[in-house]
Amino acid sequence: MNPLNHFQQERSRRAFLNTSASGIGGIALANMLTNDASAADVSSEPGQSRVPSTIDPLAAKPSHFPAKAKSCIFIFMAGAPSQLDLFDPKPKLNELNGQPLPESMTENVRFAFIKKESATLMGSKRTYQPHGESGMMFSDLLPHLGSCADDLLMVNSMHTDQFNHHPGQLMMQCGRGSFGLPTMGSWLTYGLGSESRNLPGYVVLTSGRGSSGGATLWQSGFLPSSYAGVRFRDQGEPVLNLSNPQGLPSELQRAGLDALADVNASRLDIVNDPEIASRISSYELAFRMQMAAPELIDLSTESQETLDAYGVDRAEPPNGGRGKQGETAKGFARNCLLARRMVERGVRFINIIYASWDHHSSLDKELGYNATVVDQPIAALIKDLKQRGLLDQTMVVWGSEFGRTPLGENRRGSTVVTGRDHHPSAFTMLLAGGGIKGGQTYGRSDEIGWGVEDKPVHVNDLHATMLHCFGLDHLKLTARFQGRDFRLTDVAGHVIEEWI
Amino acid sequence: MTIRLRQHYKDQHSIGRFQLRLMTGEASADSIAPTAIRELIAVEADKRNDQQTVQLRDHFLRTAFEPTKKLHQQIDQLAKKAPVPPLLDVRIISQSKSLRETKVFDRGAFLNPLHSVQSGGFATLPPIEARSGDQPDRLDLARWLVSDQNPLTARVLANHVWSHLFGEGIVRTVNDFGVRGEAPTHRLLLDWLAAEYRRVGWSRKRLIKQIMLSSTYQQASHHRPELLDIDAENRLLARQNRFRVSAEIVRDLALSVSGLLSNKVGGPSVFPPLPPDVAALSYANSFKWQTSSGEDRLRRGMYTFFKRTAPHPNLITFDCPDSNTTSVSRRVSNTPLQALTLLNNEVFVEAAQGLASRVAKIDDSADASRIDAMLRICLSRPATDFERQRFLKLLTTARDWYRQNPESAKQLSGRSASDSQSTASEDEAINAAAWTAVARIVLNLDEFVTRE
Repeated sequence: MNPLNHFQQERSRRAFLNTSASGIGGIALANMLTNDASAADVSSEPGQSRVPSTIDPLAAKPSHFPAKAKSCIFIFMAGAPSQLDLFDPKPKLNELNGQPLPESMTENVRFAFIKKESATLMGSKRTYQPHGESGMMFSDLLPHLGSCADDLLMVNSMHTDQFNHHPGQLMMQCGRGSFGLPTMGSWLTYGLGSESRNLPGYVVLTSGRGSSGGATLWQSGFLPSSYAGVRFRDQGEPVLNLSNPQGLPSELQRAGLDALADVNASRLDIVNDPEIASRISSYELAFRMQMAAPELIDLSTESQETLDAYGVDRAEPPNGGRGKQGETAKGFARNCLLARRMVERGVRFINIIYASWDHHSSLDKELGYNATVVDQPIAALIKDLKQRGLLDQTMVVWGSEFGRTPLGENRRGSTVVTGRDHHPSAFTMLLAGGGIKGGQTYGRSDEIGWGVEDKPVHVNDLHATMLHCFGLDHLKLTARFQGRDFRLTDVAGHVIEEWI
Repeated sequence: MTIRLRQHYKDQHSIGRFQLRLMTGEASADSIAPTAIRELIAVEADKRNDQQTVQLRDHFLRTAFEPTKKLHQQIDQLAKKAPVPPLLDVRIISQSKSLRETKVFDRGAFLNPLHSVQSGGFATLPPIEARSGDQPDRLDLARWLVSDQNPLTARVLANHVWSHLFGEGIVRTVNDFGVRGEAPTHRLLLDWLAAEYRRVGWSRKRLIKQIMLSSTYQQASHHRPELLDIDAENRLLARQNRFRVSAEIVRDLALSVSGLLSNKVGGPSVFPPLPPDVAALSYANSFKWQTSSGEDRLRRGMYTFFKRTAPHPNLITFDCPDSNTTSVSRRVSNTPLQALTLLNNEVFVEAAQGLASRVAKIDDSADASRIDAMLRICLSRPATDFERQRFLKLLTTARDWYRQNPESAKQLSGRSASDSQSTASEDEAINAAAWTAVARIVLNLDEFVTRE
């Protein structure tokens, strides 16, 4: 595969199909029909596809080299959870609670809200315990995740370039804090296509409050919109416009689409434009999606044991925080379960977005609520994937745009200090599965969590390594835009061998 | 007084346009015609040169011949009312007295300034002349952009117009005429268009007309298999290009054929219906989408309010850029979400209902005639036999089904359940639903959303 000339290739491939069968109608289509049918992986009828899958930009493509990971579940904790209160215990910080930092440490640092002159260090109220064989540390807020320690890689030495939410979120999704770039899921589907013939290759699941980045976090940037994330909704129809209009039954939909395909095909015979074949194909995929998506979100085939493990029916935790909007805890649990079902159906990239972790104040209460919302379902997801033999081929990533300061936030106008500010210089992420070596804690922040002391990992390094697990060389996965080749890793990034 | 006209030259010839005028009082020579014209009249007809003939004819048409005299008066009246070129209000930018020092930032990071730089043009283009002093200012830059010595601006603009009319520019990288851009396929043509554009006073309208009158533009867009080996990408334009119309136009077209489109021009952005959970995605749910009412629901797509963190899905799904960065060209993709939008989205269902009721109003009530009308409205060409038969078949299928399910018929045709239960209205609903089902599929035809 050479994505550099992807569009060129696409054109010549279409040209080839045209020449080889004197127009795409008829025989060529019939031959290709088998492709579609064999890839159909849910019970619905694949319909009578007339179009070769090669015209589909999301057709599965080979990777640069063999790899384990096939799907990615990115659990994006928008707003920046405090690593100091969840993963990275700092006894020294607790000891220095209430003391200022030497000026030499803060003079070149910019904060979103902290007033440097009077800020003091804030210890953590959390208690920590080692988990698993490696003794991975988790705070008391994450008992369930702790039980997955042997499958998890904990990276305590993450750092990023951005210290405000929207640019930071773009940085984490796109590799650079700018607008107009493809997101991670776009790059993966652009590079590898999708295994699913009935569902979008790149899906977004949200619950609770919206993120700062909104829809920019799953747009395809300068890549075609075929590679944009498709949002599965938690209310109403699962995909926007999925349901037929009121009063139009499925049988008339089928009859209509048959007429549409026939008339489009008759036009194809006259004008010979392969784009018409592509349109016929996209209508068939739409019809299959109408069958497959409701089946996907129907959890009635899941055992009660599974539903309970994820907490799909659990009660909303008390003290609902900023992140709460509707039945947030249930919604998040459901999203985790849906993610597993999507992985089973060949979806390439699933982004579960949950906000907000932006705890400038009331950190203890808010963090407690959010941790309760996410802890159990994520642990259940990892265990469920493992038990079904899917964890090896599914990479689960937990993380945010940055972390939070060891300094308490003394925002102008507030009298009490109960939160932490944005902190891009040291934070924590978790990875599991898809070829990632679990049971290790990687990198080290300094004794108060201010900066990285050992094995720094930049966002570009994370992306380079993730792509590597999918068999993609981050230097070769490029798309030409505005006169140059762009990458997910911008102009940096190293694959971290110790993770693999 | 008797005037008798005798013709003595057989039957086939009669005298052409002649005029008799009676006058009272004293006629001065000037009241008949100005001196210059009288002098022309005095010249014998076959001795007048072309210019004199034209002059004489024009005078006759303007002042003496009643039908054209009136028209000329109208033209003169209209000319007086011709709109003046719009004057735009612009923010007044004053030139700072002292020039600011400008530095290069290290990889764009504004906290890491490097060496300082001075303003200037590209070395390959004529220099930007300063009106005074050494350093050109904004006004100098503005003048340089459109100066006769600078060919670049007109080329870029002409190429941009071309790209909309052909799907690709003469320079394919419409946003990049630099070393990273592609070379033009038709260098001389681009130069000529750029010169024309300048000659017609930078009138985009006249440039578009000029291109559209060319036989290159007017070619059919059918792919020609015999050209595939020679020019698979049609760079030499042996045919027109087919391409799907842009996001806003997809909806405009549907609303237009259904008779629903509002033609209101200008004004603030509008808020056509948007699912509430989409608006909620905006910057941490900080924004409320107040759906427009009345005709503002049905304005052209270009007036749709653009919220960058929660853009309207009907636009984004059809490759409208996210508007966070400048974009001068769009990619065209072809996705199942587009299919679902055209099939099921509220506005397109409304359009199908509108189109159905539009053809229901035509005099000829035969199904085939109405199918013909529908296709003519949507495709601007007559239906083929195959198309007519195929849609008739669909119509029959739908009618049969709705006859069995009259309640569904009311739903699809948009007739509320509270409508009267009489047989007549039930029949009407069944018919309207069946036609809506057909119209919906016609609005989904590839040809309908494609500039052929």
